[in-house]
Amino acid sequence: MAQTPIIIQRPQRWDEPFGLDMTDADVAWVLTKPPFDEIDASKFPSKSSLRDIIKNDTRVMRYSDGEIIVREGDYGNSAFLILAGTAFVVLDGIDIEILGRQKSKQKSLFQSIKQLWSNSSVAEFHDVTKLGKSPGTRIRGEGADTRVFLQDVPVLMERHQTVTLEEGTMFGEIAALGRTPRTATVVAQGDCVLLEIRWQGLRDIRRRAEELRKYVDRLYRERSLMVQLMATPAFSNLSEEEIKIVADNTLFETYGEFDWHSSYKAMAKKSASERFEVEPLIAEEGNYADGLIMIRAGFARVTERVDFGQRTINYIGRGGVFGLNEIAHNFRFENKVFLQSSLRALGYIDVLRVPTAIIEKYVLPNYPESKYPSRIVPRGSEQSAWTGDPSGQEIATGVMEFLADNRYINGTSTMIIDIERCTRCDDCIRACAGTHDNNPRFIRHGKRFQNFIVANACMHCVDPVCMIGCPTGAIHRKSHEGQVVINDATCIGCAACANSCPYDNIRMTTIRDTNGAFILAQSTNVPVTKATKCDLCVDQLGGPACERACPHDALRRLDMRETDKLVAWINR
Amino acid sequence: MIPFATRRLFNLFALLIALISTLFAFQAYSTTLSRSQYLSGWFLLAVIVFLAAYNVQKKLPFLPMGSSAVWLQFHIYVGWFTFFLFMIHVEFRVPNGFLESSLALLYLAVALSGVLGLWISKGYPQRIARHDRQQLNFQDGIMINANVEIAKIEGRKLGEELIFERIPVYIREVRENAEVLVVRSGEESKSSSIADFYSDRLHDYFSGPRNFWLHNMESSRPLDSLIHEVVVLLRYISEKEQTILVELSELIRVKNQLDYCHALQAMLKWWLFFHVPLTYCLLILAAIHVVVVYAFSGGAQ
Repeated sequence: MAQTPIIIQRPQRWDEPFGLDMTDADVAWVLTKPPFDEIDASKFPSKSSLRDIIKNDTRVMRYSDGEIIVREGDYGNSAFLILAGTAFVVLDGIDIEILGRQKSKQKSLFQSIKQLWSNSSVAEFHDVTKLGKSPGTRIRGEGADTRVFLQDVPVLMERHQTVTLEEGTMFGEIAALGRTPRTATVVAQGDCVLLEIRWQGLRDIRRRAEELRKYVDRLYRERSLMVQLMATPAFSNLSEEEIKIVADNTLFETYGEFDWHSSYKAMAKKSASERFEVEPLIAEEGNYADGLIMIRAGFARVTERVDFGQRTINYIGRGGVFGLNEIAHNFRFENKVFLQSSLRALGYIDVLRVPTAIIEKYVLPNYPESKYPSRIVPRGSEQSAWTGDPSGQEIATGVMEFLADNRYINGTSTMIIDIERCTRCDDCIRACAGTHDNNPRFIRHGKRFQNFIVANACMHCVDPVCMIGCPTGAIHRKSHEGQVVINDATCIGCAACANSCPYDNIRMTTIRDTNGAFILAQSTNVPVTKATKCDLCVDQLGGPACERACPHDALRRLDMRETDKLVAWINR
Repeated sequence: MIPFATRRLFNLFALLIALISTLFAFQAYSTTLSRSQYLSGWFLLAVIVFLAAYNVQKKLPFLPMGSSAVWLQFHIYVGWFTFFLFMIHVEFRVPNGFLESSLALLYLAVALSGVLGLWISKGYPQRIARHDRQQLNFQDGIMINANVEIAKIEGRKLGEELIFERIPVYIREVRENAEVLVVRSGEESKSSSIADFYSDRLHDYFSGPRNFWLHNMESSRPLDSLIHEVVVLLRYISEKEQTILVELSELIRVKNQLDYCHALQAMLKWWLFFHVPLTYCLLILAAIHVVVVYAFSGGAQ
């Protein structure tokens, strides 16, 4: 029997405004402030006018003296504009404990042995005397509205190098648009009012307000681009002056949805052709290679046309380049070739495009012979979908598609289990529990491809969306691109990280005292929860216990960016 | 990363060298006119203690004592080596005397359970994975049949495998679904055929994990016999009942899949309940053996 379809109103962009309390009076006030007072509102389309963007993609935030606005190392999806008052930025780093994080402390041999008898017999036992303690700070508010404030601002300013940010200053825009960690901590200096702009709004304003776009681009060119270009192998032979010329000519482009994590699960269920349709095309196979494309943030899928479909042949992430082979070939040989593959955005991606003319003028003439890409033999126009025997030294196409479709390419320590070797002995689980006070921090099941499963264990992602929005900074990286860990002492159990994790690898647990009784919150009398996840045994001697505990070489933590290691492991 | 085949060859070569070296060493030692059984006995005991220490390593995951995989490789190949040492120690004859015989039997029981465990550990995971694959058909990219039914029941994602500890829960849910079908058949058809069939043949089948040994022997008899009875019954019942019985037969298949996974995963876990306790018994009896040997040696070396 045919079922009657449910009819709903089509979801709209601003169904959920950023700030629920944003009134028309607030919007009018914001529009009188720089730089909005100088922006030509007529350049915005009527469907997303400047007024609408301000109303729906921004919110007015009021901070009191000493409250931390952004922390160094945090990931964020918003920028800030000071509307009234001042804030100060700490330039020389701040004690990580003040930022709500844990100091790296690896256990000594005795402390390691002590776990044999000191591990609690109560599940999720937490020492109440250590909860909510972060030296030099206090907490105001609850849940997502929690604010952390510094107790002694004058002493902090005395000890650290700081710069005052005046009214009208914008900060946090590079991290918001590029999904990169915040580079400094900003603290309110006296009472101040800020406009927080989420990335979608910032993107739209930047697109239509020339002054703002130039301002953001200039900041990026000055602060990050030179460093990134110098770190790219293709530019390693250039002088600083030449790098500057390349930087001045580099174009910035963004593709895809910033909030990919909220929609990717639904997308993974769709057919391959439907998925390809919604993945924005950055460069198309068969087109002229008009520039060298470098990934600044996010992931891209490299595909080639086969028969009537597109086959994933690779995926590239931050630091990866695309198009160099074709540009180099055209520079050296008479027979010109077009792009041999396409590049598609997987979720949100931020790319840099260096025009071909610049590459040909500054990069290729001095390019080392040994690094020159080999001559391209163009593929025929008719491509068979059959690739031949997949058992070889390359990742089978199916595996590549699986990893890309499910965004496992995001993981730097993805737990992969070979189920043809795994005896289900659960030694990995026991080892994890043994090193985490008898509480295992992962689940030995997950999505399967061929004879492998990707287990529900934190992958310590390249793009850690779980770190966006933590009000106390409890979830953080141990070092730059290091392990993502949660400071139990400053986690307030708001579940922002668990809700953001696209892979369901963070679990909220109700904590208990020594007798096994739930610990209750004083204000609400409900059990206190904490976010828990794999910390890659960061404080243990010898590395991840799960990997060391597997007797059959069935479990491995792998960096998905290192496909050669993945191939070697699969083809053992 | 060393391929498994290379590792296996290297380990076998190392074992061969160890065997030859040991044989020559004992030959050389025997020329000194000392009783080599004392040396071989202590050597054997030390090696067995080393093998038993693997269990201690597993209990101390927080200590950097090397990976369990490396320990297991040593455990396997040193385990083979102990058999050779054991044969040298008993001088390639059948031991006599109650204590000696008991000790020899216990050693053989530990060794055999180890070999059995090795065979299970290598073969069973592949069987489970293969069985899972055989159950999967693809239709427009979506897996269908038994696995879909299981996935529906337990609410897990398609393609994920069954967790051993959850299998009894899934079985209960399959049974509840089957009972709903049986009640529906009585209400809709006013006939007791399916209910009778259920109470006679399926009630026990759905009550818990069944056919443990048959599944271990890869027998399809448990499923075949029930499906055969379903086919026979289909001839004699009404159309309404036939529809219900077909649905019931799907649940029979689902239960069979659960039983299969349970039987194999249980075997993968339970063989250690023989191997480890027997090892401790062996160590205790070996200690008694040492005491007795020295008590009655009269100073002979």
